[in-house]
Amino acid sequence: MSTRDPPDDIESAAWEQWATDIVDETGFDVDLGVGLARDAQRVAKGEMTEAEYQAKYHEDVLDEFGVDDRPTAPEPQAADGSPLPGIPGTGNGKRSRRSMLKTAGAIGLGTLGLSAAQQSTRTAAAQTGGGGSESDVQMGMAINTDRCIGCLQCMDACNEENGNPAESLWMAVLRYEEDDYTDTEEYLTRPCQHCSDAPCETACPTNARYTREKDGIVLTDYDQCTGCRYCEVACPYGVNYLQWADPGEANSFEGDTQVGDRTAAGSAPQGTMGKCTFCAHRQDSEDESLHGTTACEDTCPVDAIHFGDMNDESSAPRQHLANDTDGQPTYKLLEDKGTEPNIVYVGNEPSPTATQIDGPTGEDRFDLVRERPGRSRIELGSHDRDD
Amino acid sequence: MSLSNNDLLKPLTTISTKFLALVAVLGIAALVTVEAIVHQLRFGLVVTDLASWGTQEGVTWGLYIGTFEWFAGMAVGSIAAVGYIRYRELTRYDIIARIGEIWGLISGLSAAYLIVIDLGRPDRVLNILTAWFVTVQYSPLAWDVTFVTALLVMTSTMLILSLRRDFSEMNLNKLPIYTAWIGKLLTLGYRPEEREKLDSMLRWLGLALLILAFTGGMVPGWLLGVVGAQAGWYGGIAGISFLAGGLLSGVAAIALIAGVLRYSYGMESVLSTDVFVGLGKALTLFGFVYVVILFNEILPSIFPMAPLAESRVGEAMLYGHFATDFWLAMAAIAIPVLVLAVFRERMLASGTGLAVVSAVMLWGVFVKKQLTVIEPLMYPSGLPYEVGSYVPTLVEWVISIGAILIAILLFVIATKLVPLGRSPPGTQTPTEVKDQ
Repeated sequence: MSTRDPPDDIESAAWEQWATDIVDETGFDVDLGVGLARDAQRVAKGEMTEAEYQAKYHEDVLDEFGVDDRPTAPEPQAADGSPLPGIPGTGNGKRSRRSMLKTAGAIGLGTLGLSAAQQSTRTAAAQTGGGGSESDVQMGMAINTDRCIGCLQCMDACNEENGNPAESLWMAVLRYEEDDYTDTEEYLTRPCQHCSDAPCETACPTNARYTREKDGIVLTDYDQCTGCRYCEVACPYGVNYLQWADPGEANSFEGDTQVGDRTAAGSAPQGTMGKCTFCAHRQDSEDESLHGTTACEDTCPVDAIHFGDMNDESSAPRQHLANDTDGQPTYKLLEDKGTEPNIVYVGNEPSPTATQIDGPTGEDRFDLVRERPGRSRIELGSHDRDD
Repeated sequence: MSLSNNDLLKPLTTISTKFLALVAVLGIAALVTVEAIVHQLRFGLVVTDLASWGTQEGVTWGLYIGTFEWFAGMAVGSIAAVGYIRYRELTRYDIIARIGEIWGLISGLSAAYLIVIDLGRPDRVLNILTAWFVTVQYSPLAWDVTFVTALLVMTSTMLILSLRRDFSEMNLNKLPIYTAWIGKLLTLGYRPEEREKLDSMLRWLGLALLILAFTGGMVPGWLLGVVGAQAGWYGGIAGISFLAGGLLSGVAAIALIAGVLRYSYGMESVLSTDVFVGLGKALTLFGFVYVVILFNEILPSIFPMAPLAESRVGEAMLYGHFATDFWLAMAAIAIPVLVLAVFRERMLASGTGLAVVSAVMLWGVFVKKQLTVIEPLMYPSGLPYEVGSYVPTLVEWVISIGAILIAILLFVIATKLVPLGRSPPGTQTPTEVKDQ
């Protein structure tokens, strides 16, 4: 985008040309973008009210973007006009600064109507007490289960990368069938969902489980964790794996376990809880080519896993969701649990009655097992679910 | 007075061969338990049959947490009974209150150390305390630490203050030397003028214990009840259900101990029949309430309209995998309630009958607590995971049952160290039967 300063007079032809050039680059509706920008300036100068501005473009914005999340949209209110109650940090009852900036950026206001956007954001921040330091980055994934062939290479790559013992399946591919007379078998590729409202963190009695500010990755501080496993019972996805035994040489993680000032990367030491870290050691690596990548994503032969910043339109997951879903439905796992997961799936959602089945490619092919050491061998499908 | 005083002090002044044999047996059991704990500390939780739920198809909380819930319940029930007796100044139940104070303290300690044993890194248990100032805002485990700490502090305060009063009425020279030494320590600086203040403190501390039992006493229930991910745990009844089970098991434990003491030491004059009738009435009520609450808690899950996840758990409990354990546990609670309600006077006359039904009910609550913890983890819902399995290992059994035996050992030793009450004074307040 051009960085030159805009002409002062928003009514002038020069301004019109400048704005048109910039909006044109974004690929969105030029008339709408220019109109929004011009009136945003008017709002900033006080010539137009926020309500007028909101109403004037509401229909057009909805048509163009499918959602009107502009900063001027009315805040949700209780019946008596008071703000809805919310727990600090969870973002309920209010829109986050993050989502406002995201939308503002998407419709070109980021550069054009900056003053108006800033003004509204400041007001919102003052109202909610939110600080201005919150990062705008939220790492996540788009996983296309429609492409998944159940080769289990992601599971293997994950354990290799993180030095996990064979039974700690931070990435797990579940093969299941639906009881819907279609006899179709599907795969569910299941890493940690890195929830924005993670119940595991609320359960943790030592603050060992945390979301790091920088990019929203949920991690476990191995120096703090007491191994109480409350996070595991609180997680609806079953992604936590305690290191039950002394891993000995099985823990072959060679990277840097330090993430910021905490020890949180690589396999979990004995007695502590491990789970997918979104390869945090890669994100913090000195080798910049590793940033924004994970072992599972790199190895997937069918390009089903896309990792990146969910708030960045140009990121791999967002691009995949925008362009490559081939008409498949998208969903987040168990959204009704209110966890706000940051993995978006493309494909069919497993129903609550889906049954796990043994796949043609068992874990035996790799150095992966299901049962933890010392327990009897698991035969998939040997249990009757409605026992 | 001298006769009853002798009866009261019998446990202190006699040491029989049977007693020594009991201590020896319990001592050996304690050593075996310690060996099992050391074994687990050396090798980690891998010596249990616990495993992650999900792909490992295990349950991640098992016997230790179930036994923890059982002990925590008994602690709550014990302090509720103590609080009621002390607040209402039911002098005839003085021995019952003392038993409750000691057993409440031992149960609270047992619950606390079982949690530590269940940790993957027990050496880091202090992390829970250092992080407490932040985590208490949201983590139920931090609330639980808060509650158990309050319980231990308040119960031991109650024990110390009531012992100070009891010792002040006794001739310390007639007591064994170690008891006299404890008596001297606890009555340090005692002046007769403080007696009125001491009585008043015991009374209000009793009220405080009652309040703690009926508020904080729900926290170990909420520990499971707030977990939205687990069908069968989540819900508004968890705290109440825990409290009811706690009142039942706490009073049952006290009644069992009282019955055994009366039988072993012939304490008929100080543990009179009407005390057992009162305890029996309380057990009938608490048992009945607990069964009603369980009925209400579990039954909706097997109605055809119940959500899938809940119905899986409920069905496994009522007629599936756990049905035998579940119905035996229910029978162990419901049949004694029925027996108590029908044969009350005859059953309770000696205290021995009450001790037997109390033991049966305690076993029933123990089994139900285990099922409550294990069930939802074994029947995961949401994602297509398989049903898990869990067969506790020898180490788990030894540590869990050993925790119970160690608790009994501690109590048995306590009966030789401190008096179990004071002789009934001339003026008695009308004895009220505990009826919540």
